[in-house]
Amino acid sequence: MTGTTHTRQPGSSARPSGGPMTPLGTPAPADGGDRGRTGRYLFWLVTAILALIVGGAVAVTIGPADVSLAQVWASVVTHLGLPGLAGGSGVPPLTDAIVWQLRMPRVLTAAMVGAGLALSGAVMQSVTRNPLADPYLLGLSSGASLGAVCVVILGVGFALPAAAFAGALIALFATLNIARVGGSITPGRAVLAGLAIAQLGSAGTSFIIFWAAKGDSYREILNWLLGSLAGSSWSSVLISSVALVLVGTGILLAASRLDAFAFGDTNAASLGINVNATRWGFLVAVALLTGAMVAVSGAIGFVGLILPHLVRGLSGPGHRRLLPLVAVVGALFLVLADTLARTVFDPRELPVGIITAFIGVPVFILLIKRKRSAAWA
Amino acid sequence: MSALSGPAAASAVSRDAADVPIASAEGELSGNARDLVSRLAANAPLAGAEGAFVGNSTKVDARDDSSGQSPRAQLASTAISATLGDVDAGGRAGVVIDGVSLSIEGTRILQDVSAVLPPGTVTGLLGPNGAGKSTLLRIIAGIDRADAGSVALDGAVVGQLKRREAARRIALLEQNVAPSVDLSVREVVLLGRIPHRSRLLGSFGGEDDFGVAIEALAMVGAGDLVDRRWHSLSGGQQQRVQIARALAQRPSLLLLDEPTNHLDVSAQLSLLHQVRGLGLTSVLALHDLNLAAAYCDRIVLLQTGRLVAFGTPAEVLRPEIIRSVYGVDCDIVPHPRTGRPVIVFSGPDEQTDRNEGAP
Repeated sequence: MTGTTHTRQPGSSARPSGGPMTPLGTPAPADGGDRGRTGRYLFWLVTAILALIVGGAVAVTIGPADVSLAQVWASVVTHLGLPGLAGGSGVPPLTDAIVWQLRMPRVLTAAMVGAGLALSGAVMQSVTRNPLADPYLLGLSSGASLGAVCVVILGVGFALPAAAFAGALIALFATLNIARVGGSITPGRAVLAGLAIAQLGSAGTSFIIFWAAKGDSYREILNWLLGSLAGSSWSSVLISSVALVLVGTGILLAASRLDAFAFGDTNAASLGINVNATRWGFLVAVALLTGAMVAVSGAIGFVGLILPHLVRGLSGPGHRRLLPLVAVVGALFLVLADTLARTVFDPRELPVGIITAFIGVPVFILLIKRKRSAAWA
Repeated sequence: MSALSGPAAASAVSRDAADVPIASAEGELSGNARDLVSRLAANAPLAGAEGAFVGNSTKVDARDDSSGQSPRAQLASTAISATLGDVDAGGRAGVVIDGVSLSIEGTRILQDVSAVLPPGTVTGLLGPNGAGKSTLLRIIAGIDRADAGSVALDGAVVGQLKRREAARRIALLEQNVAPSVDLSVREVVLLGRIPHRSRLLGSFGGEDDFGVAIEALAMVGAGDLVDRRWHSLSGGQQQRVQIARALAQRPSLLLLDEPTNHLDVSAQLSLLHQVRGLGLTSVLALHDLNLAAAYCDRIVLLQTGRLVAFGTPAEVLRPEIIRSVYGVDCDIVPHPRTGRPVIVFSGPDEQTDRNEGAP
């Protein structure tokens, strides 16, 4: 609440002469019209999509073996059944295998996972009205890891994504139940409860891997706890893209219902939203999405936390615009982070979660410091 | 209010119509109820001493539990809800609150509250903290369900409406809410269009919605705020924008929970003036008795969940009622300009031994 400027009746509004109303230095919007805002948004969306395509293509060329962009192009169009577009120059079989069997699936999985996690974070922040909500901080990711590890290591007869989904859902349910006091959940309590659940999930994951120890368990633990895209295959691409397309479409279609939560539950209800059913619908969707992403990449942190905050600055907080852009930027972010992860200590690989944490933690601290609009405690 | 158009203009017309006593329905009604209905419909001022009104009949034993049923009996609410349908020129019956009760975990929140709010009137919902004002508003809005009793709006039982349907007819503004993200005024007002959008593809399209939003902002004199950010607004501006959001729902009933909270006096007065000017049936939970006396057609006075008095400000806001509910001494004097009642409170120093608990 800034200032005491108060508009009286229309017509009698005597405003300080000279200039638009900008109390206390709030910058007036550079441009008023809805059209201008839409234009600016479309500019960012198109820019982000182009950056994702270019960034993805370049990421495929980067690695121990030299691959040129032309070779990437030739390999991809050949595999898509359009060798005529390849431009004549054949790609050596080894290069083709590196592009198509190793790097393409990895870059595509990174893009899907980044988009899915960023979407999850944006949706969670809205339905819980918690700017710190994120699948990683609230324990969903480590719950999903635990579920996935049960399948991978223990060979529980269960589909991998389904187990990760179940783990994410149980973790979400546990976190929200621990955080609830007298019917309401404060952001701070939710994060504390999420911390406890995340620790439990991580401990469980580590325990199971050690229990079934064979060979290099540490590496495997790190990959699940910090996230890694090293094992990406075309089946990873399939799992993550199917989840992203199905759940993402559903979330996008219901985007305006997310807007209704901005002023809280009663307000949403007075706007005709069935608050509990809608919230749980979204949260289950998020658990599905997170589960699928963790199943292919482990628990990658902070993507869902920081990107929605970043993207809101470009798109505004309305979800019709926020969600598509945050998905694209999330994809771009994780493609770049993963490229960094596999090149900085080349030939060794860093779990990508270390990169995202290095970027995400400072943002997290900033968010805690900036308590402007949120009800903390 | 030159910008008035659409629904507000329409209801302003029907409000005038309500000022004319209705003849058609009266013949079938028996004495008491007819008296009540025609007076409710005609907005006629009541002399304070008349006996048939709830406020007067219950005020005497406001704290006597054994007479808790009396408001309902006096209202003969079923007869009223059946006949009030004919009252308004637009075929609207206003709000009929019929014996609403609610307990939460054994604590009585509301008990047997009944009142009839004719279309186009502004009703003040008064009572000390914890009297059940917010809960009653939530029940009227259909957000909370009553244990017993019902609320009807224009003949439709609110509790039986689907949430979206209720949201197209009733707009509720909570007290002191802030968005979790920094929305623009435009985005806040557009929230009011959500119940009017189609379910599946409703997130997209809705081009005319922006026109409705602009119109709603103009109705509360906030058209020039459309591109501002929420957090850059003053308290009075935020309330105005919230009301514009409610108007964008195109409701026939507007519920405001302490809209004047944290506003300076000029903002309070102009806000209430503007709400009156909308011509919508409105219910306002208020703490300030004088604001209620100045701006409301009717007062519903609650105490620990019970209806203590219901009637015009002059009937309800009387020293003995205020003393029994709020435990403060006061005198009522007519406003020098409007003639409406003005409550002049006496502090503990000026009080005699009337105030229990005071030395």
